[in-house]
Amino acid sequence: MRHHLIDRYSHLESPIHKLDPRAKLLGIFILLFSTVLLRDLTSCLLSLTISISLLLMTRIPLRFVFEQLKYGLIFIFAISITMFIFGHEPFKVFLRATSALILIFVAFSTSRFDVSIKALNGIGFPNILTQILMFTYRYIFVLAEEYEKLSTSLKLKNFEWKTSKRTLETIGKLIATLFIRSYERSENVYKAMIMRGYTGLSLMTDFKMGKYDLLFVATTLYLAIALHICLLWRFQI
Amino acid sequence: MLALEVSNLNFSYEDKRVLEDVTFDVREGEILTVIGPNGAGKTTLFLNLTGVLKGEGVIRLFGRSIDDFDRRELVETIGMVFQNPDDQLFMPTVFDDLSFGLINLGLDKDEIVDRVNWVLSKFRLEEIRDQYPHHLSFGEKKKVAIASVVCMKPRILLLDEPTANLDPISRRDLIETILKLVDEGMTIVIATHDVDLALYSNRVMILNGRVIDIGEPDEILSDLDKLRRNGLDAPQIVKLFLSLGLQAPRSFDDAVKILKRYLS
Repeated sequence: MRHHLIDRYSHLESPIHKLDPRAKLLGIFILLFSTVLLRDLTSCLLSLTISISLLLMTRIPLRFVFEQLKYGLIFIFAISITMFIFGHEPFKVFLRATSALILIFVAFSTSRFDVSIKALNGIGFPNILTQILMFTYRYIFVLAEEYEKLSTSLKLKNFEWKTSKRTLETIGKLIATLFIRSYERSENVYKAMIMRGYTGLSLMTDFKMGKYDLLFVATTLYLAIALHICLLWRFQI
Repeated sequence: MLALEVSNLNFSYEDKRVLEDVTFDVREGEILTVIGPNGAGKTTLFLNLTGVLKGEGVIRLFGRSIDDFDRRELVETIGMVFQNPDDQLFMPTVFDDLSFGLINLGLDKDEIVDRVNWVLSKFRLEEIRDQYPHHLSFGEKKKVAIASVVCMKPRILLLDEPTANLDPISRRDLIETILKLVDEGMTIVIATHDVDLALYSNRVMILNGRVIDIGEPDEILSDLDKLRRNGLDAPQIVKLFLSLGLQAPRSFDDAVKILKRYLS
């Protein structure tokens, strides 16, 4: 079964795709950090412009981008409306969150997901969390397949999803079965790891950071600082 | 030389006795097929042989007690491939999975890459080197699972149901690979329900909680009553030979010879 997530277009050849994954993540995280700290509307708009520019540079089809981001955008919209109802300023929150979402998308859609995980480890993400992320990515598809099998089996037994007590009971049992299978699998995976001499994170990477990558990190750092200097200048602090 | 000696091995899961007084040995470079019904304790036996589970009794690998091995020595001596490849392939790509054990062995980067390339070419997996395991067919996953253990070059390889759920071509490929590994000096123990596979082995053992019988394939597989009493059946080819009043073959090559003699 072939599942594709955020990294479906990781094979493209855009300037962003060509970056060393570590430099890309580092640069984007700097921008992300800067974005979430912005308080001024103009700076938020500038930040959104930068995010959209980076997104356009990736050459990923916009239809796919929208498909991937739609739930995130709906969530941000709902939060903004709630803030408006309670008398807060929703527009800046909406802009900041949207910029952040787009930046995260750019970071993780332009490399294969396994490469992004290794790159995260390469920029200092803790080993144990990297391992958990890798297992999650590996086994989420196995779980999805298990769920699909169970769901097909229910259909073959003429089960219909209704708003009834029986449906709820069945969903409960289905989730319980998935948990039990996951638990059994985790035990087997642990045994397989022990048998192959596992003692800690075992990753091999082949990243090379060049001038272009350093230039990208430097540029993002400059932009991140510039957004805040712009704010200081505007309020003449 | 004996690659593996097991004496009076007992193992229980809480109060359920799974292995009782299991005693057998495996010679270096031979294939031993362990057959038995579901719940006979085949996988539990393998987990004991790899030191993952600890029962009562003595297990010796090449003359040394398993308790005298450190983890690194043990993984270089004995490796196990699980029945379900999804239990074995836990890294995000085929390359990462193949290199996983080698990194744990502390090999340097060049040697790891060489070993991975060697095993990829041995199992004809070069084209899927950077693929995600969830994009592979079941047969490919099974091959990668075996390759991930073989690349650590263990002297003894334990295969748990290696042919389960494989299509005929993948099954044939796998059998060829197993035979090649034995030619290169590896000792292989196979746990299976696939009694046809037993005809490729040097010896067959019936396990049903305890060792029921062990011997050459023709001797074990021609005792239909004993097989049935233990929830097993003889391979079709053996049943055909027995119904023709011929001696049971020791292997497929042997079957061809007997049949040629019979026809002439």
